[in-house]
Amino acid sequence: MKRICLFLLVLTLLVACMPAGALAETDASSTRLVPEGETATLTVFCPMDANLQDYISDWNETPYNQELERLTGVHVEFISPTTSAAAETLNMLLVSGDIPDIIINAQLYADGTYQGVLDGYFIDLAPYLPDYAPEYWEVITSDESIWREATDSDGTISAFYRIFHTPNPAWMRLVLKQEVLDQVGVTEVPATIDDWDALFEKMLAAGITPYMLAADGYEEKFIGAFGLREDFYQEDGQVKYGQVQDGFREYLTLMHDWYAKGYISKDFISQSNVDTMFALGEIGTYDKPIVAAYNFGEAEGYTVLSTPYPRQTEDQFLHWDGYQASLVSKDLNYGMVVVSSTCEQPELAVQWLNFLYTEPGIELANWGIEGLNYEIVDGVHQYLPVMWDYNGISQEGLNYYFKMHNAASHAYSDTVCHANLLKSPEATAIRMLYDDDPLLDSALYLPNISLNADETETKTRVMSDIDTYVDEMVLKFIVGTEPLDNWDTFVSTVEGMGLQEALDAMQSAYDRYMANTIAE
Amino acid sequence: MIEKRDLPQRSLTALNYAIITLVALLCLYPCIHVLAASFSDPVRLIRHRGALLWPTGYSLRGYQTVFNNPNILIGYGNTLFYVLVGTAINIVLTSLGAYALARRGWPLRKLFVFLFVFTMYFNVGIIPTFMLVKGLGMLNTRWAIVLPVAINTWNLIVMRTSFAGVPDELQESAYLDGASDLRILCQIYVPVCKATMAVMLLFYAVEHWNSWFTSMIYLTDTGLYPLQMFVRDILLFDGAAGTTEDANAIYLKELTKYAVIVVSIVPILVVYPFVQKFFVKGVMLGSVKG
Amino acid sequence: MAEPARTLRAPHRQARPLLRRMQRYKYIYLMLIPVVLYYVIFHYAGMYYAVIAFQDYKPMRGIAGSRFVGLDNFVEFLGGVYAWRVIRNTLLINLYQIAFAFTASIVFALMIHQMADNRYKNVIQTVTYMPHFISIVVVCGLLAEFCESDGLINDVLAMLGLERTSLLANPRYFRTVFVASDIWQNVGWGTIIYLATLTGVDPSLHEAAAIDGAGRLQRIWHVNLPALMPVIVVQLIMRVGRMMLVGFDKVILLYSPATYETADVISSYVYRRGLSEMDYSYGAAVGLFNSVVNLVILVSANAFSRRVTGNSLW
Repeated sequence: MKRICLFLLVLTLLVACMPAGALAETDASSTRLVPEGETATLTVFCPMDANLQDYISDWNETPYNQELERLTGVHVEFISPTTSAAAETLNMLLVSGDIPDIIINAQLYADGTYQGVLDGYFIDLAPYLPDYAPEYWEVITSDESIWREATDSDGTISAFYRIFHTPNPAWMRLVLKQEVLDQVGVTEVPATIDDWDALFEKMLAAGITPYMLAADGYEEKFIGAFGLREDFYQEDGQVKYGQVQDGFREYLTLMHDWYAKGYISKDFISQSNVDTMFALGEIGTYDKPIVAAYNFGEAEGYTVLSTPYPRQTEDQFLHWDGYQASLVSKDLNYGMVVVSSTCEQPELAVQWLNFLYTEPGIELANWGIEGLNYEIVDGVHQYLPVMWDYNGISQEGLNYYFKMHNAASHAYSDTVCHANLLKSPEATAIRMLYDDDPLLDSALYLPNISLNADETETKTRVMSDIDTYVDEMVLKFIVGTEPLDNWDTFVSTVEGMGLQEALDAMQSAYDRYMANTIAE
Repeated sequence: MIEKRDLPQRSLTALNYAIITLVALLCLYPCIHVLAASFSDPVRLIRHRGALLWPTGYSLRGYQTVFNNPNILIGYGNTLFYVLVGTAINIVLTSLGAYALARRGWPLRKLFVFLFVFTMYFNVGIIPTFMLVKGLGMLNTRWAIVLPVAINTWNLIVMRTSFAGVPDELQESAYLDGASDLRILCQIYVPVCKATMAVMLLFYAVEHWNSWFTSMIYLTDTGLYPLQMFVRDILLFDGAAGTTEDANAIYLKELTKYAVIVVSIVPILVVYPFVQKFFVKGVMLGSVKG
Repeated sequence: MAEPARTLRAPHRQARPLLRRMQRYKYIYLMLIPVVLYYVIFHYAGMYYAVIAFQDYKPMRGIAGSRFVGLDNFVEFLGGVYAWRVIRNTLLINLYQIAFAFTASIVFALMIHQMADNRYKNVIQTVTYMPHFISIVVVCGLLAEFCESDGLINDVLAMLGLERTSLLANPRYFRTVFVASDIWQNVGWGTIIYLATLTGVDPSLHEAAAIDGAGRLQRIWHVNLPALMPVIVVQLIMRVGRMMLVGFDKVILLYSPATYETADVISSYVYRRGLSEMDYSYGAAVGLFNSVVNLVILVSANAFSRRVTGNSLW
């Protein structure tokens, strides 16, 4: 115990000393948002990334946030719940009236940020952006498609988004182990559903549980092969709900078939330690961040393979992909940020958020701190070894320690600045593999539409019960406790619960979205 | 007592012993399993199937991970605070209430017993209670964890019953000596009923030690979280699943779970045997109707 | 009516003793102040906030500014698709607990009572009380581990020739897991009160029964069980009286959408809708409904017991 305490003490000292000692400080006089000698404080809600919370307890311990504070002159008091309690914590803060100035990860607000503005929790950023966030304003007004995604249809702007310079390639793939393919005598990675079926059969015969389906029973890659997306999507301008489409029944039929044959793990609903099971060769495939899987395989001495999106036939054109759809990211953890209505210095809050869209801020968020975790050699950014190994912090954790991987910033693609990809050329290459799939687009993708108060009320009222019902039924269909013969009853039940009302609400919001053009 | 030990009777006895022993083993086994697992080698543990009576391989890495986790230490500290302060408040308020309710001849006794016991069977539900705590300005403070549970009515009734058993003469003579009620409580009732007090202490302390739900709904600052919240995170959520590519994080996850269980229940199991002999008294008293 | 004179004089006679009695018990009142404050603030004041069950409560508008909607929230719940399911689950889980866990302790107490070896008896008691003190968080964490399809419980099931299955993912087994783990945790603890009662049974009753030629089982049936009966009845009423309030944190730690069908109880539904989805008024209404039903059950159980067995809480 004593040794541990000592160890902790040394650690703390090291962390405390490091930024000051090791690097040439950049001048903060041009970046400060408050005059020299003064300090300002903002309170910020920012859940602690699960990869980091085993190592630190306050975001202010990270060099990234210390540097951000130095550059902006703004001190931040973080409220950082663990990820498993983040949504409840946010709800509590909102209802208590003790709302932090800034809420990072604002998609936790169940009704959406636009509704949050209407509910009076968040402010409309539109009046502030041109003056206090000129760089962000420039980015979102640079392109019609970015504008539509980053704004709400009536001219309101409810949130800051992470906006990419160039599209980010898909990061989740169904992964395989070369060794397992060799073992079962398969030479090519599967391309069609039939290929997968054949592979699974061989895996099962070899004593491997072939497939760990996602715990909720939805795998967008297989759903996409049936020409749809889960939940709401649009086809030729018409909003649809995936789970009642005929294609979805085919998906469920396939999954049930695989479950019954033993291809899908019996534990998929309550899965745990999947990474380990894959590493030990106990399961054949699962959906996984491809680079993480690859690098882990490298370290452990096996080869991880990426796979193309599954298709019914090799020449099938897939339309479900969402990665290419927009430069505006709205599904990543930290990439969606709002300012609360109780914030007493909204101008400062907006300026602070805008900082990550200015040159020094973009450098900081995307790369980190020069001299500490990266250096520039011949004009090229290169990470220093600490970026992969520092103080026993997990590698993924370091992406939130020296830099802010998912920050709402003007972001470079992972292929440019993600440490895990830059570990080796192979790691980058495997992320890019299949990214140039010619038979793939995002035609079915439903953009970031914003519902007005009535539409939100309708959607929430109707979908709360429908979601619960559908999610349960999907699992039951797959496991077989509900026979697929009852599909029609299922569809009519969902429709009877008022699905059309929700669809109408979504449709009108979608139509408004499409009519939205850049403000003067 | 004369008993004819014929064969059926004897086999009945044997069967009885066998079943009881089996139940006891079932109660004991998970604890042994957890203890053994927590000292195991991480990879061998994951591959291990079936019962575990002894560590498979040996490693302390689970415990290292747990003690290197700053949140665990923060949680430990907070839990200690909640247990100490919370239990102190519990015991003081419960004794005061029990003394009054045990007071013979006091005319309003029945009324107050009813008003208190009523709350055991009727509560307004978590939402209004949440709003009440909010209205009191206690959200995200340590008070929200200790004050709303300041008295457990069941414990209050137990203590009252115990106090009611104190002989009248002790009380009367103290009165004649001019002792105040508060003094009588401290110097007569508490020492006389020390077995009950010990059990109450344990009950309250364990309640605080194990509590997590109130922290989840009343606390937003993780710096105030008790241990159980972090334990819950580690045991029931695969938080870091997905993006991590760290062998340590991946392989150690299972081992860490067991280590954190041990770390979180050891303090209770250490105190428990000392208080255990008083249990019968404590629980028995509670069964007497209010 | 027989003594009118006394009735007439009563006011005067009672006035002074009342004051005197107040005076006499003044320290009692002083000591009760913090206790009463606690109950008033944390139990009775909360009832004020229950008014949001009848409103369309919006936090930003407060209770005063929120719209009154009468019984709309109750109607929405009772008319909704999940009302019956969560009510049924609440009742079933509790009934199973009473049928199995509650009786298990009684049976176990009778068995322990038969043990002649006192030291061994003590060991057994120490060991079987212990799980009671393990936190529900840890118990659920253990269950998650042991219930996996390659977990310990399935190993045992497989030995018995049953099919391996992920127990926590299957709605069919949720109640079994829930109640069985409850028995595991509390069977020993639950015996305490019965054992204490059994020690108080007059030995001469046993002797008389033995002389009459009663075997051991018969004596348990005719002597021990009747001796326990009043305690059992009181315990049962108390248990039934908490019918709708029990085990909720364990439910939200163990359930998942896959098992909502059998696992979702009223209080977990309140938690999800009320706190997770921020539908405060709806959550409060369902919670209030729950509490009222609970009270009705308690009062009925008590009345029933008084009539049938003669034992009751009040």
